[in-house]
Amino acid sequence: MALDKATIGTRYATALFQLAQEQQQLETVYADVVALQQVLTATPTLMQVLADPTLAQAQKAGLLTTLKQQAVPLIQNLIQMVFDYGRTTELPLILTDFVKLYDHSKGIAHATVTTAVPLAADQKQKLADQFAARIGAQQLTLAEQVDPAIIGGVIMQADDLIVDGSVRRGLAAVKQLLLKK
Amino acid sequence: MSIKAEEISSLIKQQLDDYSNDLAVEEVGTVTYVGDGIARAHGLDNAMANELLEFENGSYGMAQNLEANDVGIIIMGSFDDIREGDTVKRTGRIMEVPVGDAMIGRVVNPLGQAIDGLGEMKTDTTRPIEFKAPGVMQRQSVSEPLQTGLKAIDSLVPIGRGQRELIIGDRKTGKTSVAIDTIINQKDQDMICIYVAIGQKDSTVRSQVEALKKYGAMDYTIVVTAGPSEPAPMLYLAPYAGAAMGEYFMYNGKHVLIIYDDLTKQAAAYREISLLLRRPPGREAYPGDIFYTHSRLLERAAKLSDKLGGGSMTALPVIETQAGDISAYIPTNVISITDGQIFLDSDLFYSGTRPAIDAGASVSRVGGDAQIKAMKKVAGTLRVDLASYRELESFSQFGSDLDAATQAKLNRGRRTVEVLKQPVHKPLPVEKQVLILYALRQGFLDSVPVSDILRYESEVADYFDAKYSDLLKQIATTGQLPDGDKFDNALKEFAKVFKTSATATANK
Repeated sequence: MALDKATIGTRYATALFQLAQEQQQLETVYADVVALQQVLTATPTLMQVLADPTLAQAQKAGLLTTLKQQAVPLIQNLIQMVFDYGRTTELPLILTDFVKLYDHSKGIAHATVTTAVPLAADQKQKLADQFAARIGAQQLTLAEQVDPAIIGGVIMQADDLIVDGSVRRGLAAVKQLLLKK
Repeated sequence: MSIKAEEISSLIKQQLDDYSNDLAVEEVGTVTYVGDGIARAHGLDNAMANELLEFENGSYGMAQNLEANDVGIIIMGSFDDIREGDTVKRTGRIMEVPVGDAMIGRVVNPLGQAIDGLGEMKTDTTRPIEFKAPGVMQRQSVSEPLQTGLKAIDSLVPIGRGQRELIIGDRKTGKTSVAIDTIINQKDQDMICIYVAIGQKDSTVRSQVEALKKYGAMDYTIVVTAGPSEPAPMLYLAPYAGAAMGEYFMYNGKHVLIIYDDLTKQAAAYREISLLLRRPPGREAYPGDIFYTHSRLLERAAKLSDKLGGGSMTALPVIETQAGDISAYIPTNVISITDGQIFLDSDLFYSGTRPAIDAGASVSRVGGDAQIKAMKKVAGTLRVDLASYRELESFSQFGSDLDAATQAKLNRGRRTVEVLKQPVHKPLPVEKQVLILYALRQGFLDSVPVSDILRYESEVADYFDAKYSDLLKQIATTGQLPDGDKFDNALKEFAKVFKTSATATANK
């Protein structure tokens, strides 16, 4: 049975992460990975072209060299290997998984906060500190989202965990309570 | 009526008393695939096997496959408004169904929701649908009889309370009729019946419910139904839900009869789910745990020890065969799990022997201990008689001259087959079964023409009801045959007044 993409992503990412740690290049590799991610999101056609079977290898090789140019050797090798093994389409997943591993090792967490009205800076800081303590992260980057549909309160989400303190949920709970009896 | 604002607000206040504005901490995943009653979701890292999950549209699902990167979920309820990218929440609970006395007389779906339009059921008790069967020390051997009211079954393949007896046969051989008649006969027997219809046409279920209502059997019956238009997970779960409802009564010291009609369709539904969940297919494409699916279900039928209240749950699973092939995968599995089987034969059915029970292939491994003494006496040689009759019957078709002993045997055999016939929805109390079988064994029927046997049976029953009801009562209460030749004398007396149809027309 073919491996699913998620498994492939973790395997390559773990290998890259361990290698970078051994060679003590974690920071530089991380910076390159983030840069590469930005390139990939900025030019969505790039992945399509690299994976396109109708194009000749030589044509793709040119693109590949440009892509590799300024990267550190580890990333250069990764790009070449992924291309040679026909795993180009999995590259974004590999990069995401690497970032996850990096974040995990540094205790960095990403969270989304949803509120009905925009938050003030000090409120945001307070929320970030509280939530970081709750999920055991040393550092928390907070993405903001405004959704008037929640009426009031705050919803925090990090990975698979949602802490819902919104008025919308409260009202739904009241409704359920009244209907039950 | 005027609305009293004060009363209402105090009521609402009371109801909202339990409400506390806590934060809801939820673990979620993202749906990556949905279709055919199955969903896959990323995330949900801590989900447990068989945990109940909630989708955004309010539908519930059950975690089935916990894999490295995703979770395979079976969806209970509608899945047409679940989309890829929707969130799915953990609930931390396992699946439960409502149980209790309020369920009796109702028609419900496998989630325990009423579908008979009679409103909600008032019950706060629930039980998990998957529950570990009672262990060795929690059981005792089967000792009390479960009267099906069918002569052929109660005499040849007796069923005891707490037994698991398989009803097996081709389509249209009267499997469901045997089951429904058994339910009808449980009236005033202190028995609660559960009829689980799996993949049965909704129209069929409706007519069964009407039949049960007509004979007053809905007063002690719960019908659980998952129709063919429901997604496969509902069909798969229906028997477990029914078993949970039965267990509630069993553990409260009551006697329960549960009918799974039929497990072939449940197996097919489970195969569908398993293939969609990409579990490896085995023989006939059934998954590896298809045996366990049925064995853990049927193991929940039990006769509990006195310490646990002595309740019982008798299971009558139904299996449909293709062209009488009982060596197919599912039939062999379920035959080996159960304590015996009632084999219904289509040839017998079409030749008019109804119920079409094949006496040779039907057995009951534990029911004999539960048979009442009187029945044991009159039915002792029945099986051998029938077997030798079948043998002689095919032999005698060559038309050669037969000696008197063979003639007598054939005669007796023909009458035995006739006596064991019974119309649908006409269960017979055990004392009357004993009466007619006794008359047969003692040779009272030998002089009655075969075409008059059914009439003889009903008339002798009426005669005894009118003149010798004390004898019948004695059998019913003590389980013993009356002493001496009281029975013989009474039957002799009846023989004098009984007119065969031939003499009746001659006298006109």
